[in-house]
This record gives sequence, structure tokens and C-alpha cells, in this order.
Amino acid sequence: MTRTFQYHRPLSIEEACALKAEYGDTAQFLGGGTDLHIEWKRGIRSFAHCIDISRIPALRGIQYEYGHASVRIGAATTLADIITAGDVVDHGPIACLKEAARHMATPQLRNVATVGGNLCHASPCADMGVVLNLLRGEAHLQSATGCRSITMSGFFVGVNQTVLESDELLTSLSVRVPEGPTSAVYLRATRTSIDLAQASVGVYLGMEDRAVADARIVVGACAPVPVASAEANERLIGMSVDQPSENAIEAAAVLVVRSTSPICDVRGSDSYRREIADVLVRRGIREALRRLRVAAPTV
Amino acid sequence: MPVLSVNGQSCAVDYEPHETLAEVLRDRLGLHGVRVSCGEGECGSCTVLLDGAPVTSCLLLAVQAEGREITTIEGLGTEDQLHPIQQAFLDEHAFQCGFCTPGLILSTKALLEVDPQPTADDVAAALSGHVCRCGAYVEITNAVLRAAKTMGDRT
Repeated sequence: MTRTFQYHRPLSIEEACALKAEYGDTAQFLGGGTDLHIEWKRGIRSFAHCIDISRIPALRGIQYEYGHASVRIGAATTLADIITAGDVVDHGPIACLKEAARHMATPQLRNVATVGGNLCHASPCADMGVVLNLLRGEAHLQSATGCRSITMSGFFVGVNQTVLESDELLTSLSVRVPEGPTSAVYLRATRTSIDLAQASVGVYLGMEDRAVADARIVVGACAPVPVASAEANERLIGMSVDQPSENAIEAAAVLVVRSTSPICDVRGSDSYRREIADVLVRRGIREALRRLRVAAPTV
Repeated sequence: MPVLSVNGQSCAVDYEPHETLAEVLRDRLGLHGVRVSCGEGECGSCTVLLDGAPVTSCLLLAVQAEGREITTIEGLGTEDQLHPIQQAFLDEHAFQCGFCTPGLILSTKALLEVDPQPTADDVAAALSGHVCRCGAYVEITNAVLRAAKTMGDRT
């Protein structure tokens, strides 16, 4: 008997959740399928029911939410959609999402792969996971029995593991637009195309009176989940934006890399990942500072 | 029976949900310009256009392409009248074995629609989802730039 599945194409979130409630663990949501389909082909994953959510209008698109001062991204929004999104994404550091998406996979895959899929597959290298964590994003989940929201810092719990219950659908991500001068940058250590990150770093800085008032460094691909260090972030607070302290930058880098636990695999050794993560953190901080100075030059 | 719109034609074609678009285009519709190499969306040889956007058909289910416009290399130009991109690839000798060529030509078509005057760097970025095992990358870049000029001169 041929290995196959039953295909469903719901046109609403409610319909999709009802299907998942009905078929439970025998059903799999399909965004673009760029990770799922590989697992299917390799025999790593099987499912009796495939629930294609990519055509549900409510799950696609990027909107600015007035009154919430936030940007909401539908879970089935493709990486290409993010890259070509106009001003709606260009709210200060949120533009970093475009930067991260441009690094990912290939043009063909970006036309199909979804933000939600990247997050729910929860690879330790997932770029969208690092950036949305960096921007203090929120994930919105829905099931046949209700909704809930969770901050991105709590979304991933392990390799390919999220907090999603088996009946839950990730519907959207939201990111608050920060006030005041802020900047974000995303860097990866990787080959030029298609490759997953050996290490990736996101840096977010907020400025007040020409000093760093808010700092966030997130490292990806160097632990089962994206890693941040409160100590490292603290180390940058108060640093001059115009004349940054190399000591503080170096100290922050050391602190955050200490929080990582990279594996040794075909893409790179653990020691290399730590070393390159350190370099990326320092470059990232300097670049984020530079972007701050550009966004808010001294008069 | 499901219907796929391929190269401007509605085709009634039978397939199982798990079958890939590449398999259906090749095995059911005889469109062997769609090549399958890695089978995992990395090499780009299976590239077709879906509503004008390049996608790797080996990694798409045929069902995912329903209701969308599919363009394969067979839908571009004829033997008597090649598409300017095809002509440019010939003129610049932008292939050796030709296996990767259909996918590249389709990605090129999509690129030039969005960016009619790309730089060499733009070309490299747009075609970064294609592997040419014969290493004709320089000639391919020249072909794309040549096609851009030809098509630009026409408008």
C-alpha cells in the first residue's frame, strides 16, 4: 500500500482547528512544507492527515495594528512576503525581520516557506525564532477550545520542540514598535546560500541621552533554543553610543557566549561555533550602535 | 479529477495527495524540462514558476499548486522562436550538460520581471538557489545580463 495521507484545505482558522481537534496527533499542519516535506520524504515523519493552512486569508499578511503600536504577521506569511513587505515592516528594528529572511534558504524556498513553519519546526538554527525573540515578539495560538499568547522567549523548549499543544495552531506573531531611538541587526555565520547558520546573532539596542538604555543579544544555532543572557545585556546598559567601550562590548560577548551550549556536527565544531558567535556578537553590537547613530545623529 | 493550470492550459490530471508537483508534471504531463536532482529543494533544477514566482517543484505537493498558474520551461518560447532568455543562454554558452538550465531560465524570467536591470550581484543573489554542476556560473551571469539588455532594448 502506498504511503500517503488525506489532504485538507480549510479556509478558516476555525475550520483548521476543528480538523486538528478531530484528527489529533495523526494530523499535521502544512504551511509551505519546505521542512515538513523533507521529513516526509526521508521517512522521518508520517501523518495520516495533512491540514494545509496556507490558503487561510487570516493567516497571511503583515499589518500595523493601530492602538497597539505593533506589527502583526500572519503565521502563513512567506519569507518572500516579509522581504517584499513595504513600510509596514520598516518600523525601526522590526526591519531586522527582512534582514533575517534574506539570509534564509534560497529565493525559491523563500517563496514557499512560512514564518510559522520556521518557528513550529523549531530547529535550533531557526532564524525567525532568533529575530522574534530579539524583538520581544509574541506568538498567538488558537485551538478549537480557545486562544492564548506566549512571548517568544518562552516559545521554544528544545530541539524541534515548542510549547504548542497537539491541538494548537500558531496563527500570528506580533511585535511592538518600540519608542525612542532603537536599532536591530541580524548576522549569520554561514555559506552564501541555502545553508543553515552555524551561529547567528541578533542585537537590539535602545538609546536615551546618547547612552544605551535597552540592550538585547540573542544567539541562535548554538544551543537547543535561542539563547540570551541578562548579564550580557546588563553589561551594555549605560554605554556611550557615540564612544562605545570596547571592554563592555567584549565583556558582553564573553558573557552571552558562555550561555551557549553548541553541538559539534558536520556544519561546525562546538569550539568554532563559540568562537564565531563571539565575533558576531561584537560585530553585531558595533553595527547596532552604528545604526543608532545613523537613526539619531548628534546635531 | 484535479485540475492544474500548466503553461496556460487547464490539465485534468490524477494524483495522490503525497505526490510532488515535479513528479506530476514529469510523469503525468510529460514535461521533462522539469528536472529532479536533489529532491529536497536545494539544487534548483526542478524550479518552475508558480504565479510567476520561482519554486522548487520537488518540494511542493501537486495539490499545493492547484488554482495557481504553473509555468515550466516548455511554456517559454518555441523551437522556431526562442524566448530572449533562452537565446541569451545559447549566445553566451551558458551551459555544458544543460541539466540545470531550464530552472535557471525560469528564475531569470522571474528576476527580470522584478528587476529589469540587475547587476551581477543581483543576478548572483536571485540565482543563489541553483547549482550548476558543470560550473557555468560566469557564462550564466553573462547570459542573464545579456538577456536583460536584449529585453530592455525591446521596450
